[in-house]
Amino acid sequence: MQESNFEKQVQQKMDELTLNPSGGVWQKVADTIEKRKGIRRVNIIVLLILLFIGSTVFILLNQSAYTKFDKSLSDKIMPQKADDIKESKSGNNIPDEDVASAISNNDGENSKVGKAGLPGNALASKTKRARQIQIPTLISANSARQLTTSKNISIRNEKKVKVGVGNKSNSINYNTRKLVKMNVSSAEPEELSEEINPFVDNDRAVVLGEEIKTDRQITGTLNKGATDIGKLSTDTIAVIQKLIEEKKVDIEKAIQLKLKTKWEIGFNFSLGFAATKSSYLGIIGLGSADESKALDPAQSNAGAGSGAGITIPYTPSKIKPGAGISMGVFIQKRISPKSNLQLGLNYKSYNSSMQIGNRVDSSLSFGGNLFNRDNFFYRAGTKGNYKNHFHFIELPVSMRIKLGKQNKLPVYLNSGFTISQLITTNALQFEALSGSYYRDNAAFNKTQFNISAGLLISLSRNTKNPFLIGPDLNFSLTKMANSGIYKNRHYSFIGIQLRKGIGKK
Amino acid sequence: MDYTVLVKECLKRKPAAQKQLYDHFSPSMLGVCYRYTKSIHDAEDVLQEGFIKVFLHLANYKSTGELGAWIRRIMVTTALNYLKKNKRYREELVFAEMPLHPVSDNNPMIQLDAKQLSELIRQLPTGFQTIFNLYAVEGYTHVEIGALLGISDGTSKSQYARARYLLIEWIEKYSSFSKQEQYAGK
Repeated sequence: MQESNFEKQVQQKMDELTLNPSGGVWQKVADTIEKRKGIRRVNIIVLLILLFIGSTVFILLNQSAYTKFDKSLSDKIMPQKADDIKESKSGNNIPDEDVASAISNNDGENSKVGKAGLPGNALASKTKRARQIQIPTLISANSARQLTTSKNISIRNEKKVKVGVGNKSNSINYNTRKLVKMNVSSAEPEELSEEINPFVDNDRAVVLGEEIKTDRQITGTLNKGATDIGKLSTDTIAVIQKLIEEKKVDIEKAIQLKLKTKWEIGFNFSLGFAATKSSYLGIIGLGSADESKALDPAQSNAGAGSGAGITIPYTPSKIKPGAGISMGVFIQKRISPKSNLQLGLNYKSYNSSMQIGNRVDSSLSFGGNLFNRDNFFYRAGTKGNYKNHFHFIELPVSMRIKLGKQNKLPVYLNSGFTISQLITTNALQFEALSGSYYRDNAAFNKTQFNISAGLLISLSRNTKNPFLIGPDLNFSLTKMANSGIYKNRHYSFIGIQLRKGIGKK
Repeated sequence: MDYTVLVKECLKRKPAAQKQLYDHFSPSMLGVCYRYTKSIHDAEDVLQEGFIKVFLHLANYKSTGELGAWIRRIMVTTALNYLKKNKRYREELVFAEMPLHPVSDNNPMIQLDAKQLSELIRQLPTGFQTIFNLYAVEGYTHVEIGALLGISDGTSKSQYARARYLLIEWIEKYSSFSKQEQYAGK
């Protein structure tokens, strides 16, 4: 008990102990919290960018694998297409042992058009063969009816073949992709949709047998022992044959286009508003605390080597956003049906304005420090408007990805990274003790790392290199400067972008 | 004082509320940090780190507990981490296994004020100082202290007994010295 008395006394005494921390502690705490907040937001932005890049790479890898498959298959099969269809019309050239078709049914919801089937144990060994079967002969009357009455037919190509051996049936499931889409609501070929995927494989099996899709999905399967349930209606085959014949040239061109891997050149131009705020255009991002701190004369003062906490009558002018312009050339390469890789070289100019006082033609020296190397500076005041110009050369790397499926006026997402180098600037810094503006290019971070994003909409139809226009956003992740009135600020830009590839239509 | 509103405002990252919270708790918390360190600058460093943690993890604070106690725990943990990280302290923070020292039954009345007592505590070797603070002031058990510092509870007990013995000796000396000074009319 006595022991606890001692500890209790100590406890009581220590609870009474209070000490006042120096003012700098809170300042550091506040700075760190603010910085962490900024870092968290930047992390989120970086995470989103990484997600975007990751998903883009994933899509591209998948598409390139598909493209390779298309090429090899089309090289093999394309020349035989027309003959195959003719043969398929007769329906007699497919040995029963190799092919059987099944149609599982077409009640309207999920009509399934049958595809090649192999009997029993022969199935696995003949899978490869089955892929080359002239399947068009083996479509039921039901399906044929459905085909002739449906509005759209999408013809698909197989991508993978899986052979499953089950108790009741052996099946071949084809994971397919859309290749050709055409309108056959009437038998007239001119009513065909223009939407032809440029990367068509003209495998005859593709044309009719792989998978025929109506407005409702039709999936091909193979069932054990299935026999020829029906034939595709002759009219339908004729229509499809005719359509494909007519589109053959287009398809060949499309395949050539796909295989084309040359770099193409283009130019771009952007015009809009540029801001130098601590957040994106002063709206979204890192908050304004740092910015206000930079404008705080007591903070600026610290850089001048004076004691902290002195009240100074001069505060710098607010910096207003100004015009921003960017222009340059780019080269682009198609790396998948929907995406282009673009590399460029741009000149960029951002502007801002501020209120200043009279010009003084003298060097600015204060507290033993020489601030400006130029022999002039400006007094604080509101006598005139001063325009700060920032000139950059930048190297953008971006991806242009087509959004959606429509080909008439396609929309693209254009986003990427930019490394820019500040070539020169006339921007003014502020010396708070004397209330003077002076030039000091050394205060700026010359190399900037930016992210950019934008949408591009085609202004013309069916051209290879259309005029593209759309909003353009740009934000520098690097701080403009580490000290002075631009401390913790970032360049941001919003504007309209024009892009045009140069090449044959 | 009801801190609920203040905490909510801090969670909304309002600088004024954060400053208010800091102003309210920083003097007592600096006292806590001061007891664990050897200089006021180190104490302020700990205070700074501690408050950064407080603001970053304020969402974890459950309003059922006392805010002051929650912040104090953070300060103590931060102080211990600081001692472990800082080379100057780390070298002194060695807890050699030593035979259990009998706990003194001497319980003098402490005539010193808080500042004087804290100065004496800070004169203890860092290991003694830390364990004394944790046991006598914060109320941790020896098992808890063992877990915090990575030592056995026996070592903690032994270190505490020595620290207590030393401190009582100093308190008595200091008190008698003060009395002599008083009698001498100084």
